[in-house]
Amino acid sequence: MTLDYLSVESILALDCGSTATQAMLIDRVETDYRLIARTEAPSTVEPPWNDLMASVRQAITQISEITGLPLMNRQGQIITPQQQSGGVDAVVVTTSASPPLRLLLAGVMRDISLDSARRAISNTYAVVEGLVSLGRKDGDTGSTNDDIQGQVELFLKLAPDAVVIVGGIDGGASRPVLQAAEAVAIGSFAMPQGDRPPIVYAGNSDLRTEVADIVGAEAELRAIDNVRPSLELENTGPLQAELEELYRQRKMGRLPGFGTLASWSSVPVLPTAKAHAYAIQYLSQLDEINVLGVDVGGATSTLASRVDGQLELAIRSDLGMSYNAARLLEEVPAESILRWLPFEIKLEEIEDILHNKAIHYRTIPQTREELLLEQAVAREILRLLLKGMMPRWSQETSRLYAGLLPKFHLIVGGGGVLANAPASGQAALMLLDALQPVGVTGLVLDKARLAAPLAAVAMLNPMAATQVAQRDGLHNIGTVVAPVGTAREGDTALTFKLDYDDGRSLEVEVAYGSLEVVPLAMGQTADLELRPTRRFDVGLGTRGQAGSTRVEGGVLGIIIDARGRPLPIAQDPAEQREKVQRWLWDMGS
Amino acid sequence: MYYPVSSRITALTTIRRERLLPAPGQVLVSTGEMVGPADVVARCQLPGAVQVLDVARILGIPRKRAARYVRKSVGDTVQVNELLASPRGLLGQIRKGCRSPVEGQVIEVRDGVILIESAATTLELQAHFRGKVQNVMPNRGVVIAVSGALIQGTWGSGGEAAGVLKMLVDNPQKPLRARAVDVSCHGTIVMGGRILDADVLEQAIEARVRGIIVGGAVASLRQNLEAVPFPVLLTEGFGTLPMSQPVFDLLQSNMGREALLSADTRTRRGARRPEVVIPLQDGQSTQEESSDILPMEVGVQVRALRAPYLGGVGTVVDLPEKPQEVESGARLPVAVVELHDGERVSIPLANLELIH
Repeated sequence: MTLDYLSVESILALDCGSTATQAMLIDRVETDYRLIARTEAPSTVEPPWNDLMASVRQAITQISEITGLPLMNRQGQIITPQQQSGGVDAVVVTTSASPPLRLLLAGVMRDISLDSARRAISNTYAVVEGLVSLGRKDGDTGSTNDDIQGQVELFLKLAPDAVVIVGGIDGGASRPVLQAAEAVAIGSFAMPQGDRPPIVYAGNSDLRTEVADIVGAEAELRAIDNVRPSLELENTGPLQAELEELYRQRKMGRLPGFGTLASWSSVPVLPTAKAHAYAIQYLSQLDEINVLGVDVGGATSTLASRVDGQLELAIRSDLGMSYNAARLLEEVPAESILRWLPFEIKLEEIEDILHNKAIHYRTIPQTREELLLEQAVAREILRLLLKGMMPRWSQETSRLYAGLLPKFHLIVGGGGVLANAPASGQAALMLLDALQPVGVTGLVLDKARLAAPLAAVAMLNPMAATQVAQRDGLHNIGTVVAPVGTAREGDTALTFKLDYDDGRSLEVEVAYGSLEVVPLAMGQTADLELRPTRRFDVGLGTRGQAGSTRVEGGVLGIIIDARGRPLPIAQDPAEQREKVQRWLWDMGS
Repeated sequence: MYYPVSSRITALTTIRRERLLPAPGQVLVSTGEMVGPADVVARCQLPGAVQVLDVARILGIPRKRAARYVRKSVGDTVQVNELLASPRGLLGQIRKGCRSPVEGQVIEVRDGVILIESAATTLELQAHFRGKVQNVMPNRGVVIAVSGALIQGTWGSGGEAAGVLKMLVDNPQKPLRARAVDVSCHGTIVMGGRILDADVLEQAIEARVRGIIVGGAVASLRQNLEAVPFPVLLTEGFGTLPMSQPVFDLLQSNMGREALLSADTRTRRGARRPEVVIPLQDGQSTQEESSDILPMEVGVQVRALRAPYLGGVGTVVDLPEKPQEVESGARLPVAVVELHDGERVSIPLANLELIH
C-alpha cells in the first residue's frame, strides 16, 4: 500500500511487547498532530490465548471506548482509511514480543572477526548460545575443531535458529576459516534434514565458493560481505541486516497473529529496539547532541546511543524484568543487587522473588520493598548493558574519562520499570546509579512509551511524529550535574549559581558525597553557573574549570550528583543501606 | 473487563488431554476404549542418535591422513564393532583400527570423520491418564477424557509419573522432612507443605518415590529439584511458601488415590502449566473443564501471586472503578479480596489469578 503522508491524518500506532501491548491514536487537532489516546492491555502471545491479536484488539477497543470512535468493524478488522463513521488512515506496528534468534557462532579464536560478529549480533534480537571456535577449548560453551564429537553434541543440544561463520580478512589465510566451515558442516549434517539451521557466512569473501562446496546442498547457505574485510575496517552492516531478515522471517513472522497485524500495517513492521534506536538518532540529530536511550523491557533490554555522530545499539534479548528476571542471577551475584537496597533482605529471598517473577511475569510490586528490589534489578541490567557498550565508545572524543560514560547531553529512560516508577526521583536515581553520567545532562523519561512507536510513525508521516514528540512525548525530569573527581566526604566539590528568569538567584556550595535537588519547574529555564573546586571537572575536560549553561526545568529540577564517579559503594552493607536510604530521601522518594 | 491468568483447582471435572507422538506413527486404541496410565496408546519409530567417529583422533594421526584409511562410504550399513577405518602397513600393526560402536548406517564421511545414524528405536506412548479415548487422530495420537480432580501448579520439572498420593504432613504449613519419607513411600507421590532442604530430596530418591507435590521450595534448591529422577510440582511457587489451604484440602481428601502428575513447565514459547489429575472412577462429572478465558468479577475465587499476600486465597468482594494507591506508592487497578481468614485487602489485579 502506498500512502501520501500528507493525506494521512489519523494514525494508530501499535506496540506489541512480550508482556504489554499498547495502542496510540494520533490525529490532527486543528493544525497540529496530537496524541489523542493511549491504552495498554496485557499481551496475549502465550496460552491460553496464543494470539497476539487478542491483546491488540483489547487495546484498540479501549481507545474506542475513550474516544467514542469505532476503529474496527464487526469482524474485528481495522477500518482504513478513516471514514465518517470511524477508522484510521493508517496503522504502524512495532514489536518485541518474539523470542530472540538463537545463534551458534563459528570462527577462529583470537580473530578480531569474532568481536566484530558479536558487535553485529548485539545490534539485533539474537543471542549467541554456543561457540564453535578453533584454537582452544572453551569451557561449556564451545569446542575446538579437534573435538568433532563436542561440536556435533553442541549442534544437537542447542538446535540453533542459525549459524554464523566468520573469520579471516579478505585475501587472507584460508585454512582456519575452511576448517571452521567443515566443523559447522559436520555439525549441521548430524541434525535431521528439516531441522538444519541456515548458515550465514560472513568471513573472508575470497572463500565463498569453497565454503559453499563444504556446506553442500544439504543446508541453506547465505554468503554475505565479510564482517572484517581488513584489519582496519569493520563492516557489521551486512551481517546485521541478514540477522534482522532471519529474525523477521523466523521469529516475528511466526508470532501467532502476526500475519493479520502485518497486513494492517501501512509500513513494514519494525522491531521495537530498532525503532528505539531510530528515535534516539532523531533526537540526537535534531540538536546535534549526544543522546543515550535505555529501555528496560519485560524480556529484552536495549541501549541506544549517538555519540559524536556515531549511532550504536546494544540489545540484550536475555535480560528483562519479566520472563528473564531470574536470568540476571546467572551473570550477577545477588550481592550486587543488595547494594542498591535501603533494607536488609536475605539473598535467598531475592532469588525466590526473581524466580517467582519469571513465572508470574505480569505481576507488579505491591510492597515498597519489592518495588525497590525491582528497581535494583533494573540498575544491574543497565550496568550489564553498559559493560557491553563501553568498548564501543572508547574512540569517541566525548569520552573524557576511561571507564566512565562519554559526555551525554540527554539521557532518555524507557521501559516499564522506569516509566511506571511511582516517583520520578526513583526513576532518576535508577538512571544516575546505573549509568553514572558525567558533566551536565538532561534526564527525560519516555513515560508514555512513545519513542519506538513514534519512530514507526515517522516512516509514514515525519511531521506527525515530530509534533507528537514535542507536545506529548518525553517527560522531563530535570538536569543533572555530575562532577568527576574525588575528595574527602564533606569537602566542597563545587559551587553553583542558578539565575532564574524572574531575577531571583540561588548560590549553593555542594559537598563531595552529597546529592542535592534544586527545584526548577517544568517549562522554566535558568542560567546555571558551575564553579568546581580544583579536583573536580564538570564535564569540560579540565578539573577546576568553571563554566555556565542554560538549563531547563523538570519534575525534579536541577540535580547535583556529587557522590563521585565512579559511584563509591560502601564496603559495610549497613553503611551502604543507610546511603541508599539517604539518596532516596534526597530525591524525594 | 479484565481477564486474569487462571488456575484450575477443582474436585470434579471432565479433563481432556492430548497424547501425541513426536513423529508420525500408529495409534493402537480406538475411540471409546478405556485406558490406564501404563497402557500403550500409540507407537512410532524415532531416528537413531548420530554417532561421530573422529578417525584422526582415535588413531592419533593427522586428519588428512585419516581420511585415506576410512573403508566405508555414505549409505553403507555397519554392525556393532565392525572395522570402519584402519591404517595400513606397520602403523596398522601397531594401532588398533577404528570400530563402530553401534549398528546403523553411515550418513556422512568427511575429512576423516564418519557420522553413523544408529538404528531407529521404537517409542511407545503411554496413556498416562486413566480414562476413555475420546478421539483418535490417525498417525498422531489420541485425546483421553478423564473424570476427576484437577490441580494446576505453578512450577514443576521431571516429566510425568503416576502413583498413589501420600500426604506426609497434617497441615499445609509443615515442611516435608527427610525423616518422614520412609520405605512406605516407595512407589507413591509424596506430599507436604514445602521443601526447605535437599535432605528430603535425597531421602525421596532413596525411598524411590514416584513424585513430590509441595506448596513451595526455596529457589536455591531449583537445580536439585531439576536433577531428581522423578517429577516435582510446586503448587504455589518458590520460597518458604506453604501449600494454599484449598489445594491442601483437595489433595488430602484424595489420599490413597492414584494420581497422574505432569510436571514440565514452560513460561514462554508455548507456555505449559504443571498439573495433577486424580481420576475418580465413579465420578460422573457434569462440569466440563472450561477452556473459556474468564473475566475478573465480584464473587470469583482468586489467589495472590505476590507479596504481601503471596499464596493467599480468597473471594473478590469489590472491583473499584478507579486505580487505587498501594503500599509501593503506585496507583493501580485493584480488587478487594476477602481472604480465607476474613481479612479484606486490596490487591493489584495483575497480582491475582483466578481459581476455578
